[in-house]
Amino acid sequence: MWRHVWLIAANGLRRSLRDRSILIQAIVAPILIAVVVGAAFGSGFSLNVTVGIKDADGSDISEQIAQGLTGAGGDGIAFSSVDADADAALDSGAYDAVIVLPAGLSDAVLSGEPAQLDVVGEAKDPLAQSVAESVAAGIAANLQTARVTAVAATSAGVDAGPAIQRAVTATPPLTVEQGEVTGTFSVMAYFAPGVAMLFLFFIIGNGARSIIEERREGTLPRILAAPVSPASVLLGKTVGVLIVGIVSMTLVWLITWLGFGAYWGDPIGVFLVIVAAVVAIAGISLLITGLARTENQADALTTIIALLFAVAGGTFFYGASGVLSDLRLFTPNGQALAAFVNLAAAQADVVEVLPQILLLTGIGVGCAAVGLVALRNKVLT
Amino acid sequence: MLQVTDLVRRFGDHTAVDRVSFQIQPGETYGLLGPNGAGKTTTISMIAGLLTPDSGEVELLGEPLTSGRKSLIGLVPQDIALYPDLSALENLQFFGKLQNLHGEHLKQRIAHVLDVVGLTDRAKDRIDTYSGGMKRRANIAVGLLHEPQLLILDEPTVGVDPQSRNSILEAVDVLGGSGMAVLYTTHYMEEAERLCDRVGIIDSGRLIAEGTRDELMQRLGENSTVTFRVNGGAEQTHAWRVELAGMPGVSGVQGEDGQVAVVAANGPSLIAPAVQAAQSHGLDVVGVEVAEPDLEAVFLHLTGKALRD
Repeated sequence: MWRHVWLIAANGLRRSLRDRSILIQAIVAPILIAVVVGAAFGSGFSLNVTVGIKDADGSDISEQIAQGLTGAGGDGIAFSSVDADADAALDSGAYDAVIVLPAGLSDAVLSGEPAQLDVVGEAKDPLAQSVAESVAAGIAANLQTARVTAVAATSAGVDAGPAIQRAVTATPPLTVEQGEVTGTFSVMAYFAPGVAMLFLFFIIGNGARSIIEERREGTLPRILAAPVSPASVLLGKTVGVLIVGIVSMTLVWLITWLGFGAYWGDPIGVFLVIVAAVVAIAGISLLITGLARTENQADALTTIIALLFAVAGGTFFYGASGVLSDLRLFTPNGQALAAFVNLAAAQADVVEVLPQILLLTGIGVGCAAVGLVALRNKVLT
Repeated sequence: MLQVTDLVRRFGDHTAVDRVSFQIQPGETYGLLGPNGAGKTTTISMIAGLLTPDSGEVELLGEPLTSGRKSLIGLVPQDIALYPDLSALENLQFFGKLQNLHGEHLKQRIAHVLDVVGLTDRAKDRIDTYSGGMKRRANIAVGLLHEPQLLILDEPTVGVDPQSRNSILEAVDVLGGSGMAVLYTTHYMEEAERLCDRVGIIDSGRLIAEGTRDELMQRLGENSTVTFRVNGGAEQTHAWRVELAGMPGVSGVQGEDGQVAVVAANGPSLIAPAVQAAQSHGLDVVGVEVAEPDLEAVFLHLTGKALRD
């Protein structure tokens, strides 16, 4: 069976490689658009993140940290103190993320105990949360310095006050440059995967619809007249579209990274998100193909859904707020982009984007299961 | 070799194949002759395992057809079932591997079938650069690739030029003589007469007659076909046809606009009253021909309509 699966997948790949329109859609177009958009935003991409500082400790140390931050900020990032509860502050819409300096922070630092900061953000805005987490990590590093200083000073019997003062008021290592956050997040690293996913809907949709096309053109009955099971045909087609999708998006990643310097983040994490995104898109495409009454209807539905997901998912307007911002979470594009932003902006590792990877894979597998059953009933019986 | 018993297939309320039974012996070429929509393709789809019968049985070499035994059959569909963006060689490699052919054996088989269909020189060209006839021949090559014991050809000459058609018929003739059982569907009477050892006549899903050419001719009895060439309007011709159909001994009338064929007992005696009737309808009879009985006449006699209707 698996030999037939591979034969059918390889045949699909061979035909895809000969189709120049697929190469253009899969690789050239996403890179070109990302480069053009990246160039357009290169000198004017504005990050607009407001991070709240909730001082739940109320000590001199926490107050100094909060004051230091509210005076810091930079292009597109503002810090301001929060009086209300962190969740309420987020709900008010005035803040994109809140860093909480917990009660007992000062005591912990002065006694040499580990201190922990909390970052509260909304999943729909991972970029803001990433910025806040970067800042919190910087503060934590400073507090670690203070904690070590305190322990050392206590052991030596000297006054640690000035050293701790310097440590807690040091500026967190956050830099905001034109178009970049913490020096790693480029506009191209955002738009390239977004546009690539949009085109993947068309490429993978074509691959999924090829089952119906092959039945119409007679090659599918000829395959089934050989000792090949319907399951092998469906699996072969699915594996074929997955390989095309993964290879094309991986090439977009590698070319924009190595050729244009757009760092997408931890390579393992990026690759797994790519695989998960392709699985999700393939599953949705199979579902559309399985449920549509005709090939043309499947084609039209794919176009509509691809564009809807792209717009709602933030492919073109990441900074959008309101309804679009909420809708982002309900699209595979939005979930994948959130993971890519986490990887690129916050330099998250694979564990931190695991929820999105699992969700995307789940969407893909679930949709594919329904779609393949429908296709089997429609095309192969 | 092949035993088909009481095969039935319905699509909704329409019965496409209605209790069709026949058998084919090894080395025999069996023709399934009938007009478009008669149920030929549905029948062979069930034999090839592409459609599940509502009832009835298909047995190959005395056993039911299972997925693993599909290699016993070579199917040449009516449509060109090839990938147009691949070469003939690539198509043959792909379908050959699906039939579990490998390595040197696959290469030898590909070379052989390309030679049989006369496409060796164009093997590396893409299918979409082929003429209609060449595509048909490549289509047949794929069906032959794995040396099936039963070759099913579904109207393999539809839409091809006379030269390619002749080439295809010659190839099938050779295959029939090589010991392979062949099931050949067509609505061209002359192909069935030329190629087939036995012919089954199918109409409206039912096998209405079966036998060798001579056996089928006997079904005509004393009937013969008289063809009239007339000048006149369509309405007058239609009215004349209706009158002809009511004449004693007439079992079938077909044709329009200038040529009308009549199957009748003792055909020559029909000529005089038929010409008289034509004149009464304002038609000029410009020619009369009494033809030798053929399968077309048998079909007309059995169904009252022409194969191409």
